[in-house]
Amino acid sequence: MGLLTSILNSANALKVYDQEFAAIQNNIANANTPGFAAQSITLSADSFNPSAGLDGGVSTGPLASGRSQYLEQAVRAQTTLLGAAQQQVSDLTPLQSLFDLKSATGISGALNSFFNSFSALSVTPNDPVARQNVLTQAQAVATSFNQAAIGINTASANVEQETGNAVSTINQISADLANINKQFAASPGASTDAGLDAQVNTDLENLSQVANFTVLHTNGQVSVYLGGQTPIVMGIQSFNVAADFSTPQTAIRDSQGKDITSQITGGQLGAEIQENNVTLPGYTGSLNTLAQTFADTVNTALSQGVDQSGNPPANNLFSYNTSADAAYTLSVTQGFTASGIAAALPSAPGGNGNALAVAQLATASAVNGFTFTQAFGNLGQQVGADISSATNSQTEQQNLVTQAQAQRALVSGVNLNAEAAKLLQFQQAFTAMSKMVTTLNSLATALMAMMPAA
Amino acid sequence: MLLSIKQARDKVEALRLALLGSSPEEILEALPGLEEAVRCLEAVEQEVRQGSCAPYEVRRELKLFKNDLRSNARLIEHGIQFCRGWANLLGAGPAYTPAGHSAPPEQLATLSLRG
Repeated sequence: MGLLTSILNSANALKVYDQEFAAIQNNIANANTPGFAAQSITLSADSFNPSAGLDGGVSTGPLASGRSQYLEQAVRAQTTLLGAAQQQVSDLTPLQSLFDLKSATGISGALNSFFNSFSALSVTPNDPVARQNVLTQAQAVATSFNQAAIGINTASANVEQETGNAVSTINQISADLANINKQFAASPGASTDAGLDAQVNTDLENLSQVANFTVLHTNGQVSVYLGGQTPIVMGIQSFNVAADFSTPQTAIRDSQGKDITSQITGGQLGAEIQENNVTLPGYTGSLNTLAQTFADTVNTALSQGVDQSGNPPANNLFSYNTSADAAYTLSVTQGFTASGIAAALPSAPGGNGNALAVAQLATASAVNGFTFTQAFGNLGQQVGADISSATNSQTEQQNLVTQAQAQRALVSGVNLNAEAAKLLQFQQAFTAMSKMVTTLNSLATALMAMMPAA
Repeated sequence: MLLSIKQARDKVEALRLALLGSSPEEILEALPGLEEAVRCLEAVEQEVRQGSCAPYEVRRELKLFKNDLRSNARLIEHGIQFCRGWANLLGAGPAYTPAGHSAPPEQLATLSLRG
């Protein structure tokens, strides 16, 4: 090898190392940039064969991104679950106070006061104050049902608004990704642009908070499929989705108007669809059943008696609109007066026989084998359990996202040998911990079995 | 009794924090703490067997402890899943699918010798 060749090789190597250094500098500068992954230059040896004019040396290969789509996917999968749990907690928590079983002003308290007012009436069946108190408590029951129904409707309206926001976010991110794809398409070198790569991954991570999707990478560009099926980004095109609230069941439609609701199973949007189409209607249904059964049972019992004039009651105490939500429309019938309360039995006008019968409804198994307060308690427990489960899930998912991000940071851009060694250590650590946690759980379970409630 | 369960919960919390980090050494450092947690529970068991009553607070603390364990179990399970996928990628070299499984070789290499 001649002197000139040596000098050329050295100069070339310096240029190569300069590029390597630039890549490292870029990594350091972007260490805190959201979505940024460290990059390194691939170095390759040039052929060395002086007789054929090949002088050896070192050249650069393409910029190899340290980012692994596997690592990104691991973070996104957990973020989607976290998004759903956070949304559930935020949407359902306001309902907690409406179904508080200990509240004196809620449905539970109002039902107790109502039946107590009939007990009091049975002591002095012709006392106008006791009769007026029955009407006051009946109005309180109706109001408490109305407020609970309004509370669920308000929650439902909030969920609809947030569904619209989630859909807007999806469309914004899709447009942004299509724009980045356009930059990749316009410039062949852009596929190695770390800045654009970081933008893509930040967009995808933000999208994972909102909905479940799959992503395909082709020549630097990304294609995104909502719910794994509906394309929202393909090349330089983005396709908007829309929320349809024209029916009681929220629907999500693709750019062609096709219903894709069943594909959205995760993220904030998945949780919102579940709440608006399943959870909240379920609460409303149970509340309506309770309100309707309560009104019908009390009205039927009162119809068996006679009022202060010794006549059968002209009106029902409670009314509700059969074509709308019973809980929302429950009221004391307009024009119903205190003297119209049928406290006596037809066989003993002026007596307390029917007031006692109504008071005893407090302990009757009137709603699917449960008393009214028990049935409300069951609904309250269901709401409480849903909120508690969502809150636990939120805490656990936050942990899992943090862990996935830490794992991504650990192996992103590390060389293969180091990764393999680290992987082995991790596997050993997780296996050891798994055994210990299982042992502790068995011990705790056995202890709980040994500790019956006092 | 209550204090022993609280101590056990503290050790499990230390494990949770280690599982959120990115160092296997840190996770293994939590092992002695967990052994101590086992001893704490054994002490509680002995007290219960001797006839000490279990007040409401003890049962509630034990329930919370089981919740803590469930949360840690999920982190461990996720960690194991992650390692399994990552091992797939490493084993597959550069040719792997986005799901982390080995991709089939695209083309066979040929080697020719002359001389």
